[in-house]
Amino acid sequence: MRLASLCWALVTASIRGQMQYRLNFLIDVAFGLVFSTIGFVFIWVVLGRFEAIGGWTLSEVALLYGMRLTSHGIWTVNFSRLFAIDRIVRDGEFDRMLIRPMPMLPQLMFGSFRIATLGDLLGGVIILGIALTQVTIDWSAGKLILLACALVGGAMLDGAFQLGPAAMTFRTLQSMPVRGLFDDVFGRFSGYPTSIFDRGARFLLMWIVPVAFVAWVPATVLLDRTAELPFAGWMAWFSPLAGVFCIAVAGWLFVRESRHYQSSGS
Amino acid sequence: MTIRGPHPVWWEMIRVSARRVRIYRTAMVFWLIRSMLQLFLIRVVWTAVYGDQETLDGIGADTLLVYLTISAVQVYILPDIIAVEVGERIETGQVATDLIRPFGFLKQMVAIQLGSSLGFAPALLLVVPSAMLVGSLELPSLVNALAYVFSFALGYLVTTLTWLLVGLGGFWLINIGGLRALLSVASGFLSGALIPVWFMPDALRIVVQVLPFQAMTFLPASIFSGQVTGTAMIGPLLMQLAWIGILTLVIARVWARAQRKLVIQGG
Repeated sequence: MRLASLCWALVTASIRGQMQYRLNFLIDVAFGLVFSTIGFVFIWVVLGRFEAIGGWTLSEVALLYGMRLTSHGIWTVNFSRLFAIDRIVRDGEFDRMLIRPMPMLPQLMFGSFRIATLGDLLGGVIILGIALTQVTIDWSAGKLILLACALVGGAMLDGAFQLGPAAMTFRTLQSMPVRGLFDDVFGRFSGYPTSIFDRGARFLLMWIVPVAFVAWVPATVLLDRTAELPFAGWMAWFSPLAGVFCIAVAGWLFVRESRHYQSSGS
Repeated sequence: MTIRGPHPVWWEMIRVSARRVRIYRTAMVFWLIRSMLQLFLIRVVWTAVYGDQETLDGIGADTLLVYLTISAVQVYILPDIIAVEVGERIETGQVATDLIRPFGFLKQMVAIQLGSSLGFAPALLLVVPSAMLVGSLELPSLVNALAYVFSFALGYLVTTLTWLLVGLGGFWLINIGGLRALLSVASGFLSGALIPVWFMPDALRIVVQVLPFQAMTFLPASIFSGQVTGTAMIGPLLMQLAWIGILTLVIARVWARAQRKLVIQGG
């Protein structure tokens, strides 16, 4: 409980700080919104014109994109401080987190709040909301729960591939290029039905960098299209567990690697 | 009468800027991987859109792939560094020192842009083969190839002038980071690199045609891919020339006002 109130204090302080520059704040949110929805504009224009890809219509692909962007937003809104991990480690700011009486990981995660990330969440919720009114889903309590779990699971999956690579910062002092690469892979590939890719790429997107589990796998359950999956349909109900598993591994890796932290000594 | 070549300061500034590019080698490799992933994705999407059809709206699948590939290469190599440089100099107040140099500020910035492109040129040895692997780069006919070289050069000028103008916005905005980021994301789309202008709905096409971004990528790429041939190539080339004229005039006006607007930060 005390931990939660401490986190809250850190977050509100950070918001107050950013609100000092009104115009910059607005430009930041606008940028976040454009940056995260431009991929959807591409889908919209292409599918608005040419009907479907791989049997998926515009509103169905919009559902995928809305799910993945909302997941991404859930992650970035909560954990945006990780963006700055290279600087935090290099400048020795990490010292401060080690000597405070709060565990290091929650401080790093919840210690600040970047308002620009609201653009991600806002864009995601809007696209998801509109898509849900357009697709035909045979709703059940189970599917509602799955959707909620999939959004959180997707956030964990997306985040695991940020937190995991971030662990290398303690040895190499730089992880930004690798994190950027994974951010790109998740951002670009998770909003499409993985079935449109050829065998090799499909294997990579399912089992090596499992972006397929962010939106496509749970969405096949929602849309009753599990026949497309390369495994039994009932297994797709458990797709959010992929996120739980990956974030656990990434968290363990990060804490373990943090032992190699050396302060900048100034 | 002797013909004077460019002022020697040009060469010196270009050389220094070219050398500086080397610092960014690692970042450039990662950026290359990312743009090739992007090319791969749009290739898959467009292939799925085409399905079994050979052509859509009279555009062949092969032509489109060449178009998308050359666009990706161009987006990767056309630099917006000039906007970053101008913006940073204004924000930090460095611009005061730049202004008192006996070599014009705008010339200095263009020299930095040229140098960075030259320093970057060896990367083409990596970029072109990767692009051929992920996409396809069939060479066009000789006439189209020559027209493309000309059109690419014009596209380079449009790129330089557009980003210079964005950078000069810093005299009013002080911090152009957000604006530049916004425009670079939008330009990937508005330049036609993801969806050729042929396939855009009318409303979007109008927006694209009143902005200079298509003159950077779409027009040269449509010549390279062979979608535009013969005398039909004159239109795009003229449009590029027109953009160069318009941007030059606007920059001249803006520059005249900017010098009166200058705020030096700090002491």
